[in-house]
Amino acid sequence: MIEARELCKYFGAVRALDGINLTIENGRPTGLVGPNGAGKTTLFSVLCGFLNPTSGEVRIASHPPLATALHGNIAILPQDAALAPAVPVARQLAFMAELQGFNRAAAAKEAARVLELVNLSDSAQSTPDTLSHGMTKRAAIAQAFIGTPDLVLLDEPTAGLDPNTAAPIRELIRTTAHERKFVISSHNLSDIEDLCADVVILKKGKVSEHSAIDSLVGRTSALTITLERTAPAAAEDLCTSIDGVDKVEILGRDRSQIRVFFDASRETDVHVGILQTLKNADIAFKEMSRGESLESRVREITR
Amino acid sequence: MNLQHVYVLARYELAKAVSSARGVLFLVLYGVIWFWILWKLSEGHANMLASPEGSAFAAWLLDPVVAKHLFHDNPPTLSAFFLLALSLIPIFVLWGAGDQTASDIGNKHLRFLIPRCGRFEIYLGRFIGAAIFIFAFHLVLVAAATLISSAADSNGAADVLGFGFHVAFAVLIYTLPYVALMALAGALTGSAPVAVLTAIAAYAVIGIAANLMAMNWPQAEWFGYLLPAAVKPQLLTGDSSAIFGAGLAMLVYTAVYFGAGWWVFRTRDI
Repeated sequence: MIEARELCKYFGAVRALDGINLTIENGRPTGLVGPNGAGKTTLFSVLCGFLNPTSGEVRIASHPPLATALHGNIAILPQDAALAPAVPVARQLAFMAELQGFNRAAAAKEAARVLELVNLSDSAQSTPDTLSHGMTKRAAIAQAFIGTPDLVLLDEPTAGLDPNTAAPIRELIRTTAHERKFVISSHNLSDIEDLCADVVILKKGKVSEHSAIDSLVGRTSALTITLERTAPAAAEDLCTSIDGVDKVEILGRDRSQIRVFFDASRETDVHVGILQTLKNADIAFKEMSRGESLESRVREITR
Repeated sequence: MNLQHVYVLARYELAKAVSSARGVLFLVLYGVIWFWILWKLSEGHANMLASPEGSAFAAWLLDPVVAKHLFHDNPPTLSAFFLLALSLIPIFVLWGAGDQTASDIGNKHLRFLIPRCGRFEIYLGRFIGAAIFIFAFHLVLVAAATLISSAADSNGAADVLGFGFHVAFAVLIYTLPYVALMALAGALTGSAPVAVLTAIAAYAVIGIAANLMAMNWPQAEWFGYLLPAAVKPQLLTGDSSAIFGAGLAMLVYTAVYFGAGWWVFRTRDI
């Protein structure tokens, strides 16, 4: 659905994107991640058509970004774009709905619907300059859910939101992911891990990795155990002795994490073995998660 | 191009203009200035310009033929308004129409719009919205001036009304290129205050430079034709072919400024 070919973007002498080749297929929510300065926001802006590439091209459903054929079929949450400060939120959203083809009455209803989605109905008649940052952000998110777009591009959808506000937004994305394709750019890797199936990792303007998150973090072939205390010296040997385990790593400055790599076909046996071993050695754990964390994989890849 | 999009954008722009602090400030200041001018004109002072002494002064200030056409052949109060309107239009239109796309480029608001409609629709819709906003204000002014003239001048109602239509045409056609100039300035600068300052500076510099340079190099007078003010005197004449030519020239200025702005806007990063 989204194709980028030899994409380069310069800001003066600074090369922000360096020959990006990327194909994002339909169906699977995709995350766009990378450290500061990796070109994430630039790539997002070029994909959205906000910035023109210096060279190379982008095609969305075989069209250039912002082609007439795509109007209303793509929704975008730009990270740093501002709603008009002095126009009531509901009126702005109704205006955007009208541009998407709704008549005036239907546009007003659609605005009310999307404000309800982000739990902002009470502030429909407020102007953005009287709303908090989080509420303005929710209004901006609401506009991305107007109509029935096939593709939704979200730049930092939960940045600046408190946990109680971010959770319903995540839930909204999760519950509508079967109806539309999401591409999410974010620094929040737990969001990406939670909401996306694929991930594109950028480093210095290039794609370092583009794969399914499950395979990237070895979800079926690794287990990360966070212990209550520092791992005892024997922990590594104990885990390595479990049948099916290939490798064991003790992680963290305080050595409180154990990561066990194993043959994916013996996942269940290894899980049981590890639990049994920890119990026998009287090693208490706080948390156990499948695979490596996306954060550690991204850090490793972009180091 | 989707005309429905252009209509929605222009309507929204117009509503925003009359409800924004910037739009209200413009209406209040421009309104107060014109209220004071019209109030003074309503006292009939312009009739002095129809007297022999006044005619001599007007002939010195303007072309003698134009002065006679304005203050002798036509209602002097409406003529005085006409002269003042054409003088004030550039500065006030540059201000009032100064934020078509500029602020929304600067604060990236356009990023909410371009997935929904074309860049040209945005550019045209904003231009039309700004033009209607200024046109409406100017039409109210011309109507008020025509009413005052019918009470203050000795000309017949038909003469006043007929000249009122001429004034309305000239004021609106002279407004248009300045609205287009601000579409260009906004697309270039991406900031409303910078766009207004740039346009006002360009207006002043081109006018002054053309006059100064023309003292030593007569051909420099042509530089003045970069701005519609150079053709303004034609709008004041009673010669219908000159007025028609000036009207056409204003449309050409509008097309050139609008086209140049579009050339910038269509490819610029937003």
